[in-house]
Order: sequence, then structure tokens, then C-alpha cells
Amino acid sequence: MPWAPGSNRRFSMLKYANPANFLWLADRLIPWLGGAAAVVLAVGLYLAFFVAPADYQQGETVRIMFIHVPAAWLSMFCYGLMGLSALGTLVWRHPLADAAQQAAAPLGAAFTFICLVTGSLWGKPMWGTWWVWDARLTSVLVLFIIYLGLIALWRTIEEPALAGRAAAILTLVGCVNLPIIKFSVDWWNTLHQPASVFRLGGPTIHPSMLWPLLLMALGATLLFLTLHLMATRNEVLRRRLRRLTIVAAQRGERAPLAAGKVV
Amino acid sequence: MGEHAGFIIAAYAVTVAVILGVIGWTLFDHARLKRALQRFPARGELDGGA
Repeated sequence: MPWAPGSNRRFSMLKYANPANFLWLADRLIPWLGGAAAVVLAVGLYLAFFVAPADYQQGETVRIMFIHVPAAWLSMFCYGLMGLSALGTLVWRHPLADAAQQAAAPLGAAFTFICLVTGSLWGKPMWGTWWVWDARLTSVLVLFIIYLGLIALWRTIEEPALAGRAAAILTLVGCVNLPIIKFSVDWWNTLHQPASVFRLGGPTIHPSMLWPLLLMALGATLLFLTLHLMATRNEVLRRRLRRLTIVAAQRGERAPLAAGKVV
Repeated sequence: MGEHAGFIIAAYAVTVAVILGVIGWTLFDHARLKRALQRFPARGELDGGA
């Protein structure tokens, strides 16, 4: 580290972008973020099941909305985060940006999977079908496949720095899918409904359902941020382990007797 | 929950299973990495690079 901790305020952002300082900060943030996520999700679930009414058209199946919409939001939020990290990797060559991006991909895949499955389980009783190839459903399926492709890419390329740059380029190319997902319901004639929360002219959803939904979305976002911090911390540790193992192996070549103790 | 209870329960069950799976895996991964790193001598704050 070229400067002492806290010596210069101008470097405070960079200070926490240093992997060792990131680990220190993550260890302290994770319990609080996780606790906040648990509390907000508990209140949100209570409101979703015991306070929000059944929909006059959809009946009780509207309860699926309280997980489907937050999962859909996170599937896109996560990709946006990965896009920013990709810029961090390509423009600033920052190792933490690559670790953050790699840690986010499986989480994005998990939330997109939840979005697709809950949507399917909602579609069957309401639309009469598990799946249609309309623009919204198809573009979210493409997002899911992009996540899987990115995970595969990191596993294919052995050298982490090279894998990080390749994944960052693919991530940025995949960003074109985000506006397609968002506006698919406006641009094409889809079975999926258009936006009812984030739209010009305000939400069309009744406050008795909107508030539980917003709380669930907030809780899910806190959960995602907690998991992302935990996964990024794991990536930083994994890279440290890889580096130390390589150094130890190189030393081992010069002093074979010591190798058994170090590795 | 009416005639569609099965769909609602299935949606929540899948969500809970996936999220618990992700939490469980992340914690297991962390414990495994910490254990593997313990074999190396302690490193100070000057450890550079991710």
C-alpha cells in the first residue's frame, strides 16, 4: 500500500478498493446488511400474506408477484452492476472490479432462474400456459443464458486476468439486452403485462399491494447486496490462495524439503 | 389460498430453496477458503493485488 490507512481523505474510495481493506470492510458490513435484509423481508412477507388483499381478477395467485417482481428487478440490477464492474476491469484494470463481477454472475443466474420459475408458476393458472415465446419471456431467458455463458467463460480460461477481460467484454455486449427486456412489453405485443410500478404517470397498482411489493424489493436488494459482498470476499480469498499456492510451488522447486510444510 | 394454492406454494418453495442453497454454498465456500489459507503464514496489510 503506497499510503498509510486514513492518511489522505482523497484516497478514501481507493482505500476500500484495495483488497485487504475490502476484506476488513466486508467482514464488518455483512452481518448488518444481512440482518437488515432479514428484518425487511420478514415485514414484507407478513404484509404480502396477511395485509395485502387478493386481487379481484387474479385471486390469491397475485401473492406470487411479491417474489416474481423483486427477482425480475434483481436479475437486471445484477447485470447492470456487472456492466459497471466490466468498465472497472477494462478501463481501470482494477482487480476488485473483476472479483465483484465474477461473484455477481451466479447470483444473477439464481435470481433470473427464480424469476422464470415463479413467472411460469404464475402463468399456468392465469394464462393457461407455463411458457410462451413472447418478447418479455424470451429476452429474460436470453439474460439467463448470458449469465450461464459468463460463468462458463470464467471456468474455461485458466488465467484470471485474461478471463476477467474476456468476461468484461462479453458482459458489455450483453448490456444491449437490458433495454430490450425493459421495453419489450411496449415495443411488441406480449402476453406479459406492461410495467405497472416504474412507469410514466405513476404506478397503476393499488397502494395495499404496492407497499408490500416495494418492501419485498428492498429486502431482496439488501439480501442480494449481502450475498454479493460475501461472494466477492470469497473471490478475493480464492485469488489470494491461488497466488500463495503458486509462490509456494515456485519456492518448492528450489527447496523441495520445505514444500510439504508450506503448501 | 384457494384453488391455486399449489402454484403459490411451489413458487415460494423454489425461491426459498434457491436462496438457501446460495447462502449455504457461499458460507461453505468461505469456510473452505479460510481453512486452506490457514496453511500459509499470516499476511499483513501489505498484501497487494486481489
